Amino acid sequence: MEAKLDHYHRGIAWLLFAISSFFLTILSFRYKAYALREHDVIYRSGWLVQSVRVCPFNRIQHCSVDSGVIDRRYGLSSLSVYTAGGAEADMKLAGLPKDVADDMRDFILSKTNKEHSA
Amino acid sequence: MPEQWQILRRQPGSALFIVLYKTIIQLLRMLWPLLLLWFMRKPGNEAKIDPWEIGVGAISIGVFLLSILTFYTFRFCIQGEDLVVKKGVLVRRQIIMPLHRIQAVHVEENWLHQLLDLAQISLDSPGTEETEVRITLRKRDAESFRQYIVGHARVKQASEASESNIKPKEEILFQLSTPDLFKLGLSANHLEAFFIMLAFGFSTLDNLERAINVEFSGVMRWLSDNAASSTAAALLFVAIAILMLSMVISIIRIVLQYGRFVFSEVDKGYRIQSGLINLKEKLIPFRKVQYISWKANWLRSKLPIFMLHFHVIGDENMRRKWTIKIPITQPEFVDKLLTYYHPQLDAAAGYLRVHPKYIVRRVLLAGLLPAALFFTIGYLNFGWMALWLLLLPIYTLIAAWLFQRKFRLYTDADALQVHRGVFGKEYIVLRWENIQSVAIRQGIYQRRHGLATLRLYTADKFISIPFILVADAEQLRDYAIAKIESGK
Repeated sequence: MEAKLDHYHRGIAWLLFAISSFFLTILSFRYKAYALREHDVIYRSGWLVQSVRVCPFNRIQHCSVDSGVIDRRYGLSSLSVYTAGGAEADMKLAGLPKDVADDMRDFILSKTNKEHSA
Repeated sequence: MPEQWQILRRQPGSALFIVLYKTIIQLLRMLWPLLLLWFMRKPGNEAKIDPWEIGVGAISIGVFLLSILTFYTFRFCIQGEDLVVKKGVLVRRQIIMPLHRIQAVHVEENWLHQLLDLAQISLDSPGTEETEVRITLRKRDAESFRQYIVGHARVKQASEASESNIKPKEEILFQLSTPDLFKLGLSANHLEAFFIMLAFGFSTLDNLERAINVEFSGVMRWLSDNAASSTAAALLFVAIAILMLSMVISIIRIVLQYGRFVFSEVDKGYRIQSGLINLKEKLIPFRKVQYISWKANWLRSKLPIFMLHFHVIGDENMRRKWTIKIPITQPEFVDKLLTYYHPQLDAAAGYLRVHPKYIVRRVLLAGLLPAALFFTIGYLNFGWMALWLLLLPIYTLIAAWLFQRKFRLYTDADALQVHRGVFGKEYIVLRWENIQSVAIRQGIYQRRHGLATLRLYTADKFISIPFILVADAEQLRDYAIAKIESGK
């Protein structure tokens, strides 16, 4: 009996978590924006805590384009930008159309190569 | 340079003992509950062999064979500009690590190495596929190998910055005297040691419980029942005993870590040697330093003793590895260690402070909110004892007030300096060009009051400048970005 109740509680907790993360995604979506500028990438995100992050091209080590199963179903990709040091991506732009993400990656790589060699 | 490194070779034969020792330790760590069970099995059953005993035995033998084979297949050499390592039993692997990409060379000797006259070299190169290679060598070979690699990395970089001042090969800057070591041990954060001990104790207990099926929580219950009825004097006695024990343990920890501490300057870098039993060595090239910080807890800030940290690339990812902090017993040493990076900024110049609204936000979010939450839970379970939780907002108020009062940000054309701390003190010097990316963050409360938090990401950790005016944050961000983008 007790075990059943426990399952029940856990189920509610997961449901609440799923609902809140769903709404959080929707709410934060409106604020999300990015731009490629002359010398850097800028990315705006967040809802409760809003953040604007700038990554200069000459600090970018590498970037990657990934798309998961669901992403592929809708032709989407996410672009991750990495600088030195951290194992995590400094910037992750999710939900970009595949060709946009690829173009952006190529643009950033061409920029970083130029900046590094200059 | 000796040509011996050009030929593909194995590690010295005596290094096999190290491999075996490590394998035994590893097996013991995994199998000790089973071993305990085996020793405590019912008498009279010795003759019967269980299938799981055979299984465990077979696996152990397999692990041993594998580690021996791994040892014999591990070969390395230097080919031209690269370190080449070939290894693997079932899957053959070849690792090529360009010498100029090697970020750090560590030499380590534990007691077994010292006994066998060996040393272990580990090479870090964060940019490549395999970030770490470890090679065990004879002690004098290790020294020449290290010099070869460091020398090689230097030749490559010499073109970038050819400095004319030729330094003597090695100059000892300071050592730790026995009184210093003792002072360091006494002033350590004993509370921290206490909690580590507690956590360790509980996890060991938990393991034991599972292994031999005895409920220690019963013992704990008995203890707590009796504690309630005992006098305050007994409780005080227990508290003092625990404090003394954690002091002894933290002193031992410090002595083990900082015994035989030598800090010296070598050509284009610092060399740190430390460790009473396991002697370790670390080399920090000046140009790999991302930023420098030094801090002291409350007690140490009165003495004063500071622990200085050279932050290099990816330090945070190598937590489990050796990131040593340098104990500074004389304040003027700080300036000496900053010479190759950037001197301290002029304290008389203007500075930026954290907005007092920080305290309000902090008390609301980290003090009152969790206190109210835990109070409702606590009240249902323990009654009015839960009122103790009200100490939490009071503590956050004091801590936030101290933090807001102590925080200072100094800036000049090339660098910035942060002073911060709650009970202790911490100082950070960061050059603008060591910043990797910048972010401005605003919560709801901050947006309402026109405030923002600036985050400066470096190749190690990020540095946060909380609760400053949005205009100031944007100005600092734009300066940092301009500085990075105009540089090389």
